[in-house]
Amino acid sequence: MTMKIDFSFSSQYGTFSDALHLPDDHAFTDAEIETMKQQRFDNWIAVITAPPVEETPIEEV
Amino acid sequence: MADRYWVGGTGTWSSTNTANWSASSGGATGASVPTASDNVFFDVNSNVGTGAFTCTMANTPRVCNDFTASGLDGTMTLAGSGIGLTVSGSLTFPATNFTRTYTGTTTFNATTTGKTVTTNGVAFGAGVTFNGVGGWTLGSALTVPTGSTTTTLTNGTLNLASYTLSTGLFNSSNSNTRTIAFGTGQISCTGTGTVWTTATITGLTTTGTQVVNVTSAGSTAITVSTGALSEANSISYNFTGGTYALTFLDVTNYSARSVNFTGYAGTLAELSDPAAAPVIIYGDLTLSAGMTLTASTTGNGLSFRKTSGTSNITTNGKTIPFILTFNGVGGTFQLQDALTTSGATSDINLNNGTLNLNGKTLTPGSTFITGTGTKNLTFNGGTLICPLAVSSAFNNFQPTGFTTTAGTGTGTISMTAATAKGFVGGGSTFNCTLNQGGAGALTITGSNTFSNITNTYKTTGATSILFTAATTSTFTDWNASGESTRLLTIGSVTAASHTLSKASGTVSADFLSISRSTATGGAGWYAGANSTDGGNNSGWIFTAPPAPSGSNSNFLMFF
Repeated sequence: MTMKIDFSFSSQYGTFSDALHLPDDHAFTDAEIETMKQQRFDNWIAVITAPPVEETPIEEV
Repeated sequence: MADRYWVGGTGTWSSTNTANWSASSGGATGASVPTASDNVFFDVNSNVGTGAFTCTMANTPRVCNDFTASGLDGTMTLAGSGIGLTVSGSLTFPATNFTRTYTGTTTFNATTTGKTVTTNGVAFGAGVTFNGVGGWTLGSALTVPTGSTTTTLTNGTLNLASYTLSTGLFNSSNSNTRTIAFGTGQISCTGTGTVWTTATITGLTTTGTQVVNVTSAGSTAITVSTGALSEANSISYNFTGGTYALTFLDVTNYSARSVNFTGYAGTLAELSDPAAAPVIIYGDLTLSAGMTLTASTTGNGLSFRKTSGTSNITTNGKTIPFILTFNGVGGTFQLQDALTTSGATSDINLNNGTLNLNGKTLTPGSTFITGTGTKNLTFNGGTLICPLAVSSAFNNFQPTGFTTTAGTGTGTISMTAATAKGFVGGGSTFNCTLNQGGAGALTITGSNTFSNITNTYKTTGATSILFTAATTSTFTDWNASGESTRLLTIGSVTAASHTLSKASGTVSADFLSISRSTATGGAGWYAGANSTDGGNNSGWIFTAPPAPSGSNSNFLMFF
C-alpha cells in the first residue's frame, strides 16, 4: 500500500501542486521527504523556465 | 470413445504397447492404446501394490481425450524426453503422488467447450498450446516455465476463472476466433524478448478483469505487443521490476487498459510510430520515479480514451516527453500528482471528457489545445501552467463544447513565459483565475468570461496584459495590479479599444498604466491613485476607491 503526501510551492509563475506517493512502510526521514518535494519543484521550474520552441500542433485523428 | 486404465506399474506409453492398458481399473491388460477419443486414467490400481511407478511416453505426441490422474497410492512419474501430450478433453493432475518429468509441448485441442485443466500445482516442463474451437477453464493455477517458454492460445476460449497463468511468454497473435476470459485471474509473464503478443487482434475477445503482470527482472530487452484492442477488450499491464529496455505501445493505435510501472527502472522506448494517430490507454497510468521515458521524435504521443469512470494519472515526478491527448467521450482524467510534459512535441490536447486537475499542477511543455469534442477542464484548486512564449500558449482552438468547472478551491491558468505569449480564449467562460505570471506581454484573444484576473509577476517586474480590440472580457473579480516601479500595463493589441466588464462591486487596482480600455458593466472601476491614464480610456476612475461607508464614522471616544 502507498501513502500520498500532497504539497505545494508558490512561485512567481503560480502555484506548483504535486504529491509524493510512498510505500506505507517507507523509511524516508522528514528531511529526505522535504528534499524530494524540493527536487520536484526544482525540476518543474527548470521545465517552465526553458520551454521549447513551438512546432506545428498536431490534432489527433 | 473408450476408457483406458493404466495398469502394471512402470511401463511405456507408446503407439504400440498394450501391456499397460486395460479397459477397466485394475483389469486385464491388452486393451488398445488410447486414441484421441479415449479417456485415460491413472488411479489406485495403476501401480503394483503401493509402489512408485513411471509412465514413460514415447512416439510424440501421445494422445487422449480426458487425462485423469487421481487417487494414486504410490508416486507416479509421467516421463518422456521431448515427448508431447495432446489432450482433446480435460486434464487433471493430482496434488500428491504425482511427478511430471516429460518435456514436450502439451496441447489442448478440444472442439467443444466445458473442458477443464487442473494441474494442482504441477508445473509443465515445456510450452502449452490451446488450439481448438472448444473452451478450457482452469481448475487451479497453471504454470509454464519462465524464460523463453510460450503459452499459446491459437483458437478457442481460455478461461482463467480465478487463477494465475504463469508463463515465460504468451502468444495469441492470429486471426482465429478466440477468447481470453480472465475472470478474476491474471497472467504473469516472466521472460525475455517478446513476452506478450496479441499484435494481430482479429477474432480476439477478452473478458473479466484483464490483467497481465510482466514480472521479468534483469536487463534483457522486452517487448509487449498489445495490438490495437478496443476499450472493452483492452488489457491492463503491470511492469513490476527490472531495468530492461521496454518496447511497448510502439505502433499506432496499440492500446492498453491501465498501465502501472511501479518497480520498473528501465527505459521505455518511444511511444507510437510516425503516423497521425497516437497509442492509447483506456485506464490509469502510473509511472515510476526510476524509469526513463524516451522523447517523441515523430509520433503523436499517448491518448487517454477512457469513456466512463475515472482514469487516474500518477507521474511520480517523471516529466513526459511526448504529446498527451485526453479524448474519451464521457470519461474523467484525474491527476494524482503534478503532470508536466516537455520537449518540442509535448502539447497537451483536450478533445473529449473531463480533465480534472484535482488540485495539482498541469504543465504542458508545449501548448495546451482544445480539440473537437465535448470537453471540460475542472480545477478543484489546481493550476494549469502555460510556459510557452507563443501566441497560442493556451489555445482554445475548438471552443464549441468546451466548459470549465471551478470545483473546490480556486483554479488558475497561469501564463508564465518571459517573452510575449497569448491566451486564445475562444469566447468561452473560464471558471478560474487567469494569471499573468511572467515578464512577457500577455495577449488575450476573444470575448471571454473569467472568475478573476491576477498578476503574480508584479513582485518581480513590470509586465502587460493586452486585450484584442473590439472584444469584451467579463470578470467576476479583477485583482490585477502592479506595484511601485513595476507597473502593469493594460491595453489593446492594436490601436482600438477593448471592453472590460464587471457586473457589480468595486475594482480596486493600483499601479496600472491603462490605455484604449473601456471599463463597464456596473462595477466601479478604480485604477488606483498610482495608476497612469494612457489615454483613450472610458469608465476607469484614476483614484483609489472610496473607503467603505462608515469606516471613518464608527469610532470610540474615551474621556
